[in-house]
Amino acid sequence: MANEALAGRALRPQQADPAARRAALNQVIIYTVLTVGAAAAILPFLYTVSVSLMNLTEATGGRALPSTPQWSNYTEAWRDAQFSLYFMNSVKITLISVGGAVVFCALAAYAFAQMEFPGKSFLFTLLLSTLMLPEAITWVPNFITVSWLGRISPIPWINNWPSLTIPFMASAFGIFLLRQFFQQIPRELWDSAQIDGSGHFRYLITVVLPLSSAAVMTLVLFGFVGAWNALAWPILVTTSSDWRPISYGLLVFLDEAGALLHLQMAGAIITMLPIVVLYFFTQRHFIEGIATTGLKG
Amino acid sequence: MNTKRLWMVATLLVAALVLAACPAPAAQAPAAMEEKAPAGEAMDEGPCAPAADGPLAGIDPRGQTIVWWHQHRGSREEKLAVIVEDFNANNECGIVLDAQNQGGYNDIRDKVNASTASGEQPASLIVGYQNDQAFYQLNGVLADFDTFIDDPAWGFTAEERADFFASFMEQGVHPVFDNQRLGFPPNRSMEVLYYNQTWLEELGFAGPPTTPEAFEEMACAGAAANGDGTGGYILRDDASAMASWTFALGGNVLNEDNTGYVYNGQATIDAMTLLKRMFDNGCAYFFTEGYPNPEFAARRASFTQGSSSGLPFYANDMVTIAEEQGRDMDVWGVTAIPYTTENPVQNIYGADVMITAGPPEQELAAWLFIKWFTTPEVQARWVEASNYFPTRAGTEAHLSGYVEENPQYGEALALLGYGAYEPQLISYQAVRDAAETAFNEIMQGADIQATLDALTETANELQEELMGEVE
Repeated sequence: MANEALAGRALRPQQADPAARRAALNQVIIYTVLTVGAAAAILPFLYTVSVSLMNLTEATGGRALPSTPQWSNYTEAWRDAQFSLYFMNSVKITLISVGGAVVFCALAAYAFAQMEFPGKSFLFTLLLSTLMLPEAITWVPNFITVSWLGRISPIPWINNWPSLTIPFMASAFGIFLLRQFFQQIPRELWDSAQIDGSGHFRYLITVVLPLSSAAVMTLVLFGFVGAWNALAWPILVTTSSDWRPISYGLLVFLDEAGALLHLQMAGAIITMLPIVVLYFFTQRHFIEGIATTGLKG
Repeated sequence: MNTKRLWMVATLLVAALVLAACPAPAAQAPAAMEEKAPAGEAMDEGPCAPAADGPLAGIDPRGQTIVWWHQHRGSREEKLAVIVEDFNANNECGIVLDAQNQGGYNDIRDKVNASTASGEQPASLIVGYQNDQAFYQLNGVLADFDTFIDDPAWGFTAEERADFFASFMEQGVHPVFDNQRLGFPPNRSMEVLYYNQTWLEELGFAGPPTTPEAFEEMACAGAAANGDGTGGYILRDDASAMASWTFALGGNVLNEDNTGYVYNGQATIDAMTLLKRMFDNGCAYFFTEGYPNPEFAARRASFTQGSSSGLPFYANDMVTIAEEQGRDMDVWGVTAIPYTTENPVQNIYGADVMITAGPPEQELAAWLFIKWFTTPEVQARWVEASNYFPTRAGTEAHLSGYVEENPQYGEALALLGYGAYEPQLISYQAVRDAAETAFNEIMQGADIQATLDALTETANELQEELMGEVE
């Protein structure tokens, strides 16, 4: 009892403190906004999961939950959309794109962050300006480029992996992301490396990249999502199913005058699973990468 | 990131490259797929030997491989593959057709434009609408069908030519490009009104409406029966729907000499007034979660409007949803858009096939496939596979069994003689978007007359702008 009385006396002045009340109110507002934001982000996903387990009547009837989960929708979607073929295609396209992006973006970002050369600022500004271009604007120039490269190269580019991967290996966003991170690495490390006889390439491999795992994982995740979800460009540069990605498989559920919404949603869940799994494993690095490269608002 | 991880990333990259290198690509770029006709004196005779005279004299289509970029997916694509297989196995010229789905119409348009820009020939055969043809021909991408149709050796006989519905054939002729026939109609669809007969009878009506007044009354009765905002007519904001209502109410969206747009004619104003009133009174509503057929099948709409090519999807959903709901399937059908004219006026549309300009042997081989594909027997097979309408009268003789089994198709087929056509002007793709925007603005409360005036002005400006490039 005595303790409670003491505690009560101790709390009373704090409760009366307007600053503390404002702080508490701010917390409530922040958490409310965050909760609404989180709900807005998660609800479409939950809706997709729910519809993917419905039958056709329920899927188009505005119901929130399926009466009996139709797990067979997933096997049906997998079979109808030929996901066995497209899934493997997407795995190959994504691995090559992301692997290449890490290599080329790291090299370019290192040059912009750690080296001095004439026109560096101008080139970097030019590079950043390409971020402002809508993706669709680049399709025709990129198509002309890959067509020409296909004509002079020993392997075909159109309807083959080079056209699907190489144009995305040197991404302006990836270079910017890594450059921001590389710039934070203390200059003294480079001085020490030089004393140890290290050149730029060895320094990049042994010092810079190991210190930048968060940024590299962020680039991997962004690159993975971009390559995995691509549709318009792959359709443009492929002529058969041999190299078409998983997103193309989803098109089978759309037709000129009919759409199988429940199978479409089941297919969508199948296609998004790898991204969710990757994010699950890389989220710590991803959040750190975003927080330390100046990308957050 | 330690050295071990770096090695792991490097190994993964190498593994991916090796994995990628394993399967050799089966298909090549269209230009690379061109095959030379087998040379040899023995091939100068026979049913497919080059013509000795005429405009196509000396051109040898034998042994050509041609690529067709089309938009058919799913079961329609599978059935088309069977027909193509038949052609490849049995055509006397040894032509091989490689039919490839390339996404939707927009994807094909992007591919054609990208190929043209890169200096490559797109596929020998492509699919697209009439306004696409005009656009492609700005760069001379397409071949003139009349070269083949009129050829004494490879073309149609007078009887074959007369068997095609003239109005369908004329859609591919472009006065702006010296009356070249840039497209050829393999099939057509029609804008129809889907109705639920069983439900209409329960509501006290004998059958589907023919006039706008009866249509409004029935849709309002359906809406009142459901009482939850559904039950009436599902609005369709597509430009084809706007054109369909205009036609049905006695108007047109083209001016008299077919060179410009008139979206502010009395018929369009009346149509928009009717639909807006129905929307305001709860007798019509928007359904934005995909195609309306399941909504119709589940008795949440008494009427929907759309392409007749949707018939198999409606049929499938009517059966599936009745089973899922444990009730007998409703009787349903399709009818003309309610009209104020003496007879119905139906909006008939459909993409054409086009032959791209390339080696003459390929162009001729592509034509020979089209000629075969539109013979009455083959067209009947394609109609049954796709539910599209045939483009020549002779096909109907091969469809009697199919019409008996699919009465709704028969209902729509009976309307084929009442056709009207949407603009084939070069700007129509952009104008379609503007028309859709205008429709939605009207439904949201914008003034009908002012909105349609603005739409007409915008549409004609777009047309003038593009025609300026042509000239």
